[in-house]
Amino acid sequence: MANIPLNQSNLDTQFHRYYQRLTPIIKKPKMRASTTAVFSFLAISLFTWYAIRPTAQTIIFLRREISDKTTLNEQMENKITALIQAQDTYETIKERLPVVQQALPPDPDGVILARQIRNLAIISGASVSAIQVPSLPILGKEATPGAKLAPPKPLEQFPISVVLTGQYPSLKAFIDGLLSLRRITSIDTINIRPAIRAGLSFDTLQLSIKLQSYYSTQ
Amino acid sequence: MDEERDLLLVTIFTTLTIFLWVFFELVKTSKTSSIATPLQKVVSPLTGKIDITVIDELEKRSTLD
Repeated sequence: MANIPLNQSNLDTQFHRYYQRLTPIIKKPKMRASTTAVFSFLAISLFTWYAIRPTAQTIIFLRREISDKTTLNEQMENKITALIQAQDTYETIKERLPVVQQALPPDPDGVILARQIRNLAIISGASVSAIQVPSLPILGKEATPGAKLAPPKPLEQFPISVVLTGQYPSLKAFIDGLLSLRRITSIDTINIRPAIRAGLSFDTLQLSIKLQSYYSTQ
Repeated sequence: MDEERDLLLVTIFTTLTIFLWVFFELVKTSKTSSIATPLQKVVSPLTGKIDITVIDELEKRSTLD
């Protein structure tokens, strides 16, 4: 292959052939218009994609960020105000809060509830035959690593069954007392029937009551 | 002649596609929140009022301890 020196005259000679081929095509007005249009569209597309898009995206993102931050700032201020208000209210009622813990203790406290029910029965004049707490969860200990997966409920409940014997006024007083007990319990079922046992009078009744008691896990 | 027209049409449709693409990308940018989800949870509204009547009611009840 011969080495041709790269000077201006050689280049002109080389590209002259292409010019010669393109000249008749370019001279056609329709072809010229169509080529111009195609290249214009291509240029517009390229500029839109590589220049206008990132710029417009940055502008819109910044505007959105300003709007979001303004809203966030307002929400933060509202929350701070609410927290200050809550703190004030908390300071006011702080000394009375143990009442809430007595109503909804952080632990099941089944023994305390059973004691309260026994005391209530004594006050009402009924005698407790049985108090049964079927199951009580042990708090503060995770049995398995999988136990973490279950999300804790804000309020847990456990059943408790009580069997009493006594006369009707005593049983009524017991139920009324149960409903006015500070520890929150709800009555699931009540079953009253005559107590047929030796040594008991005919107007003695047996009350079987199923309760649900609650405790707070938060 | 047909080739010229086809080329022109392809270019026009390409340009239109790019316009639409850019438009939807800009819409997506404008709709996407720039605040992280944990922060959104932090600023969730809080009621500063505590229902004191409930405590009053509870105080009236007996404990029988």
